[in-house]
Amino acid sequence: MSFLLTCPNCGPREVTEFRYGGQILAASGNNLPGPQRERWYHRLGCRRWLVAERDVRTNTVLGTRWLAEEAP
Amino acid sequence: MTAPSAVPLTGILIDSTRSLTFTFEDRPVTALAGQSIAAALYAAGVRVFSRSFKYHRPRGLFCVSGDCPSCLMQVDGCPNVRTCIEPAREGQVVRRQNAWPSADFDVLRIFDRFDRFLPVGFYYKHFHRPRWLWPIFEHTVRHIAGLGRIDLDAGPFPTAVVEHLHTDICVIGGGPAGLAAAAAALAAGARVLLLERGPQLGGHLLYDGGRPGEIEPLRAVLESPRAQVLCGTTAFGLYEGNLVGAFREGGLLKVRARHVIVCTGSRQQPFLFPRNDLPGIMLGNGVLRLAHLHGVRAGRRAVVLTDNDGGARLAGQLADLGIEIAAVIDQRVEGPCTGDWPTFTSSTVLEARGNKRLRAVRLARRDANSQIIPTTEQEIACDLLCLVSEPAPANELLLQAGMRFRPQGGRWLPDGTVPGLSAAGGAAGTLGLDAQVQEGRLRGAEAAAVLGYAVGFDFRSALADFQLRNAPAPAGAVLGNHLASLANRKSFVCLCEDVTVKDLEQAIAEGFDHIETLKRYSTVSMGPCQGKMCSLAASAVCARVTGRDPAIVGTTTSRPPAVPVDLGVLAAGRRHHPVRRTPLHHWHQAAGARWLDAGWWKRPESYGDPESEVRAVRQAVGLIDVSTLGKIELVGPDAAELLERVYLNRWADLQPGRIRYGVMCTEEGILFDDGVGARLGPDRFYLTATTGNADAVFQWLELWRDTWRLDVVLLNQTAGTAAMNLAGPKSREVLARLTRLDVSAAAFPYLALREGEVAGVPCRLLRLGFVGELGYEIHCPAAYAWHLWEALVQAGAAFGLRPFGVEAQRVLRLEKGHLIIGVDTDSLSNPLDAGLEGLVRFDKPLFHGREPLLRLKAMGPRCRLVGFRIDAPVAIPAELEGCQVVEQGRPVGRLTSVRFSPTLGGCIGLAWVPAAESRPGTRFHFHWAGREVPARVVPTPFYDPEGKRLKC
Repeated sequence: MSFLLTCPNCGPREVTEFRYGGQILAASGNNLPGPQRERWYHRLGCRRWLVAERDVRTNTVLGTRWLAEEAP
Repeated sequence: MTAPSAVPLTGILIDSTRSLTFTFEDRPVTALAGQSIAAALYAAGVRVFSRSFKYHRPRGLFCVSGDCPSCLMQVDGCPNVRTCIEPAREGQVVRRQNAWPSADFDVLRIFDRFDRFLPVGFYYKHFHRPRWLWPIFEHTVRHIAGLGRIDLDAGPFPTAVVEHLHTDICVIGGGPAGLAAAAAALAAGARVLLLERGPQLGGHLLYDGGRPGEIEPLRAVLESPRAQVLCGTTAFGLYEGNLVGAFREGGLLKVRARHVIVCTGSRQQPFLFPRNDLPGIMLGNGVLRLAHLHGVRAGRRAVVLTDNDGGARLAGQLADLGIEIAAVIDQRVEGPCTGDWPTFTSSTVLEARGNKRLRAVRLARRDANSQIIPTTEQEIACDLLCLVSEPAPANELLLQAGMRFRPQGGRWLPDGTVPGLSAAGGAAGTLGLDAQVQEGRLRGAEAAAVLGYAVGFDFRSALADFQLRNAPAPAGAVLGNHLASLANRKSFVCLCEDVTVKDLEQAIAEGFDHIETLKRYSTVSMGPCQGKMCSLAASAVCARVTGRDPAIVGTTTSRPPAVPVDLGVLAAGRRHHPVRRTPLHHWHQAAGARWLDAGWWKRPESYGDPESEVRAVRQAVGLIDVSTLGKIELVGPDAAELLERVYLNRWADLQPGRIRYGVMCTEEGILFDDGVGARLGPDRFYLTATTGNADAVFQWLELWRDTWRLDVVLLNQTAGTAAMNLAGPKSREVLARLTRLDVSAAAFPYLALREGEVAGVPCRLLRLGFVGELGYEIHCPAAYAWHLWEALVQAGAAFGLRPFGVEAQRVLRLEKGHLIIGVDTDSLSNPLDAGLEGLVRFDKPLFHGREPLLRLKAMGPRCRLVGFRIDAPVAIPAELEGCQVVEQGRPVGRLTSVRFSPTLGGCIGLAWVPAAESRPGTRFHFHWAGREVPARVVPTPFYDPEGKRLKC
């Protein structure tokens, strides 16, 4: 696994700077191939939680935003 | 004619004015500065460079590019060094490996005679019966087969470092295509990083008689401030997200590029004929590299074996170097006849002759059906046989990154594209200097354009035009036609693993006819070269034997690393282990502390005598540094609500100035952390978390604060705030000497928080009782910790105050029966079984773990954490931690904490036992040192069950 995540505060950073916080459960089903919403924590940066939408088949990160700004 | 071979050569890499000496198997060898170890050894007359993996056959210098296993040696204790590219250094100690007693005379060569008994996959077939023979056999095989040995006495080796680089375009390979690609991308305005594994730019122009002058303008472009050129840097992996893994002197390089252009060139492939591994048989380009880079002639009289026009060209180049050409053997029906040497077309080598070095080759013509014509057989004496095959793309990195190759017109060419990746030159299967340079230029422009830079010409139509002109001829030579009829037990496909054509045929006959299973069964392409010299040949043999199309057979999956990488390089950066010290670290050090690692922290385990430290706390007063505790302040209207939701217990009803013990679980109802929380005001709380979990708890609180969008600010004060616990019956008197606060039992009761000055330092004082005595946890700004600690120690001197460490604290808390999460619990422990049921407030509508804990409550406990005593004498009680509780010989639980209690005069502990066996008075047994030891369940706390001492 080696991709970049764009922290809303710090910009594009190596995934190793982040701690994975699990998938945000989705009504449409969980743990499926395709894009999913996940929580990430910028451990070695600004130390804030964010949400990344990532296609787990390709590790393409489709977008990131603050967890606190995520629709509940 | 004078003997031209007497004229010394000038190698590009060497400085012939400076020489140095290294030791080769106890004799000195002289090398010129810049020369590789192997070149110096070759010049000194060494021909046997290694012994092969399985049969211990002699192997000589072969590729001179670091691509094959033939020259691996032990250098300064480091095994498997590729000596053909490793520069010789003064004082080096070089030895050959995998031979006994020596590589020149290796008695293990006997295996070569017994190859019939060592067929492919022999280790899967033999020695399984009788079974007792297997370990002996395995040990023997491991000893005989293999590569170098790790010298445990060698070193210390320098620590490798990791370097991270970011760039627009990373060009891998500094040959003509790579230089052109870099120049074109730079011209468009991109930032470019160029990695070249050799010591100099230029690639094959440096040795194969091209036009080196042509690259000078390209080299000049690289002076741009947007360019970075790293020679001596080998890319070994192309990973997800365009991450290039590379190594260079001193460490690991991680390059993140928006686009990668692979220009790693091509490499000639060995031909398959009997005894094709004899020393003296070399790749044609290897001979050129040895001469032009290192200034060493590979032989006096050469035969060239080829299947393309490159053979005739090489013969001319060798003649210019002063090497006599005995013959050119062209496997094609027609080939160019140049020079004053015989050219044999439609011919092939039947066998290489010689013992430890090549003496002659036997050749013959083939008829129209590829059959050997016996009457044409003849032998030609020579000391060098140069193999000049159609070059194959050096495409490992491209394959790793997902680019596909398929045979077209006898060549392997890219098939399809991968975003962010392109190839140019030999790596893309492009032949000819002009085409390689042009392709590099177009791919460099294309990459820059993709990244948004303005390219000044229509590169798209130029690229389309280029591809049209360089498309392979539709009907070329059949791939691998030279393989037709020379299957032999001594025709080696894989030099690394000693796999022959016969072995592959045998494996296919046994059913391993897919290229991937063929690889795994025969081990072809699994050696140090990772298929660089054998992958295509194995594929071709498989295609021929199975009658399948080579495109269907394909090649095996290419994975990183593409080249051998020192383990030390891969370990670079992994040694980084932060150490955290409390503000009082050096006080503890001076007081003779024995250190304990607690997470990243250093904590005093004791100051020499933990037992007397325990007694001091019980009888007088003790002081422990607890600055490592996590300390979190919560401020905001939703502070209580956040705590209500993450902790099991209630917080909303806690009065300001009061403290409560709190426990939190994961969403699955597993114990996560515990600590205390004090209410500072209506919307202000102060929490502690355990040392090891401080960061995790803070992140956990932030996670749920953000998820629920609660209005609360979290402040992590762990590092900025020091804390010390003053505990013992005399602690109130000590404290009273240093503060104007009213510390009487009525004014400052148990589980109360006060703020005020102690020894002039602004503090928060928490009246707690973790160790079971009257005590005050004093929190203050870290900068004042030393002053406060010393003031307490001085004030306490008259009362017998002793500093105590973690070991004494463990005993004290165990006497109170307090569990430590992570020591007495694991990732399956829930609060109900752990005896914390009273803290779980199921009347709260929402908290982490509520649903699973309700279900567990309904099911009833299966096991319990209980206190126990051991009546039998035990030498070192702590060694019993982790022992299994057994019932009729079967494990049913385990001991988690065991200590000798000086207060109680016995061995006590905590253990998980089956719920049915958890009543006080029940006897159970645990397994220790081969026997079953009895223990009995007793109620906790062991000490002061009513808690009178801590509440006084």
